Amino acid sequence: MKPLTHSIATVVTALAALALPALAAAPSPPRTDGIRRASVPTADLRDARVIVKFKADSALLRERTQSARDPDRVAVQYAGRMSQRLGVALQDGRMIAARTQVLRARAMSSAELVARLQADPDVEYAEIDERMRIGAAPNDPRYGANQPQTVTPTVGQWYLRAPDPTIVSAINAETAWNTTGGSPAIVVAVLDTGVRGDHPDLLGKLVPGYDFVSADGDGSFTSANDGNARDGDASDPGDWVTQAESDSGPLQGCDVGDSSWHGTQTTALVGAATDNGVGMASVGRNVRVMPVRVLGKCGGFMSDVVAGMYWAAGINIPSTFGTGPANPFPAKVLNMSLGSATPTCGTTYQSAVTAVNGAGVSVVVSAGNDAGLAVGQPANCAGAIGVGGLRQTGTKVGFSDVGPQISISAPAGNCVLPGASDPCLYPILTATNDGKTVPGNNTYSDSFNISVGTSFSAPLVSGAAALLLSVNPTLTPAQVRSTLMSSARAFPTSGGSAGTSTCVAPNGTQQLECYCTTSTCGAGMLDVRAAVQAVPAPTNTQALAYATPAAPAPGDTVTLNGATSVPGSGRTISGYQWTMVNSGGIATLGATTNASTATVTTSGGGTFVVRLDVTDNTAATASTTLTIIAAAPVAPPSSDSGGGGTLSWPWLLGLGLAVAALRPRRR
Amino acid sequence: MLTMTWRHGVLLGALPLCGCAQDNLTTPPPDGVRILVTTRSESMSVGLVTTQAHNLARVPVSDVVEVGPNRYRMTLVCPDEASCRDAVGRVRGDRSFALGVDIDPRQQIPAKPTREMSR
Repeated sequence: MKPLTHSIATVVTALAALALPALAAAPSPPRTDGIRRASVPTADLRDARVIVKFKADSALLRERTQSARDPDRVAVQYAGRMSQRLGVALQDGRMIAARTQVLRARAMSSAELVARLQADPDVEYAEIDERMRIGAAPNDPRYGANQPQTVTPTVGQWYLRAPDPTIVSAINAETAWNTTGGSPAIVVAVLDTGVRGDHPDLLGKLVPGYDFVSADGDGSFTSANDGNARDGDASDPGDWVTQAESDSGPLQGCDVGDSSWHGTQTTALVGAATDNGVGMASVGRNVRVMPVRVLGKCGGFMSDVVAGMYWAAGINIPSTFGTGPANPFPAKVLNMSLGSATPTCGTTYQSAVTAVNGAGVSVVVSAGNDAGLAVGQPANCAGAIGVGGLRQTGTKVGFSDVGPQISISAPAGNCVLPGASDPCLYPILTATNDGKTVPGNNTYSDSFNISVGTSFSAPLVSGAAALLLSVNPTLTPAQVRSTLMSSARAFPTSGGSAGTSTCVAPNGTQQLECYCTTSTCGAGMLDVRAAVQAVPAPTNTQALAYATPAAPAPGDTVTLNGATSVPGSGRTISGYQWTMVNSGGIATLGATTNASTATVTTSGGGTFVVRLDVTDNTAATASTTLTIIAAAPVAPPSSDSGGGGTLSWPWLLGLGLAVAALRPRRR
Repeated sequence: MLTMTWRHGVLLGALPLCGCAQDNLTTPPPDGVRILVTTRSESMSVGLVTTQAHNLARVPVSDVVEVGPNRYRMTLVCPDEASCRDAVGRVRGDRSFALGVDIDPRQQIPAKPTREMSR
């Protein structure tokens, strides 16, 4: 392992920077529920509307419920008593849950009333009863149609919007966000070339990952290109291949090319910060991404890929990480925009997919870009969700492979005007970097530097899967797959280019644009709204929580958030309780431990574990634990540093401690 | 963007190792052949796996890494195709040690499509 250099600082710094300097400047910070905060009408400034919850042992409740054994079962309201206390004329609103009600007041702002209520010793919490609105498009500038002439593609992120006769294959994510904006507690692992975590659209959206790219057979790190083998640095140093490298050595025979920044592109489609006034939107909106670097120059070896799969899913690899859980952030979805053309799924991949599925983790894989040949592995493995590529018209895009192993298809980007100098009209806009070799400036792909390929179909499905799991985290991989497939829209049978025929089973010859069938391109076109609406609420209440920042520095204050917990069907969550399970000698829980959020202050480097218990209105409880590693951030890399670097020894030390001592509960 | 086809791994030796005469390793790299072994026994140490693989393959074994439950990557250091094929065959042939042996092929980002194929 390389000593503390720099590049993972990209990730760590981004996470430590979850103080969100970039987002702080955004006009409308995203809410964890994904519904944009409405602009507050003037009337709301004059008429306060607040949700308040009173403490169970408060004097207020005791005096009103003297004869009741359980104050939670007494639906009394307190506008009158609180009016006397605060000297403000209050009106009772609806009861929300036990000890929780709406209070209204005239001639004062909601914020002022919240402040006055919060100062009352009998109040557990008070917050503005915000007005929610439906269906707002995110405010990310590259999202919308009709982009200014200086921005391409002019159609923006067409693939996320609701479908219409022009963009038939658009995935309907915008309307799905009315149902869920994704939970930050749901993690999607992106197994790829690593990530440029300093991209402004990824700040605060990553949890610590790992670099699984091992040494080449000659002992060199030519493929890894970061000067070392496996370590905690999942940043992307670039994967360019020179002519000299192609001529001899470990990369002999590899194609010469510039760096791809492939992992950054796929990561951003899953989880770029959305509705933050910066760059682009992502399917998963608020879900978080774990970068798992398994590819370097000229790709990587299957052995490293499967090791990354096991680790990402929280399955232990003893000789690598010792005993115990190695990954404090086990993912619920793996995105794998990679593979080989091997037409059958080998033992190694099938065993890995089966094991990962068995751990409750979905595996989403791109079909491949060999222009209508058979799907390669691991997309062809049983249990994987293979994803084919579509044009904006809904026909199979020329490069996408086909076969019965494909579960579903999604936009992959395509060029309607393929002249050499013509802009590509319907590429997949995503985050990237302009460095030809080492990292340069963070930027976005466009109609000239295009992102097209089934590599970009898969992350759209991965993000959708994460949204389904945000609605119901108990879904099994089989249920995720079946829900995506059963909710997919039917493939069109017209509207393609002149002369387009129906796709046929792979026969060893290329087939370009063709009309998809369910035996060649999966069940249909991804429809995220239909998918999330098809997911039932979980039977029992589920506790979900996350920490911000995910990788704090010693001395940081960590905000714990359990508001993404999911009530069981027909239930409401009535209580939260945070408990420090293991402080590691460095962490102190704040005074308020019975609200949906809590804070922890850290005094040094190390690992601590907190538990959240949630109670619903039937008195049923659920719990989850968070294992959090506080480690000193390392210096951020310069953008032309060539990557490399590591996640820092304190993080790895913390990881080791977590491995040795702690066993977080899987969600 | 890499333009190399992701079939490259096949050429490096991803051809099916079925334990029969069709093993085709093409020309192995000068440092040997990289394989994945699924062991019959659980919880074997890397050292024990190395020793047993060496005894079976009768060639030096290097770079042994556990990549998953009962699954180890290693390099058999063999000078040419024939000796590599024989070494792999010997490891695979002992079912008391190896439930399966696969070549460890390179995986690729799907090749970036040309504009013509992006229609």
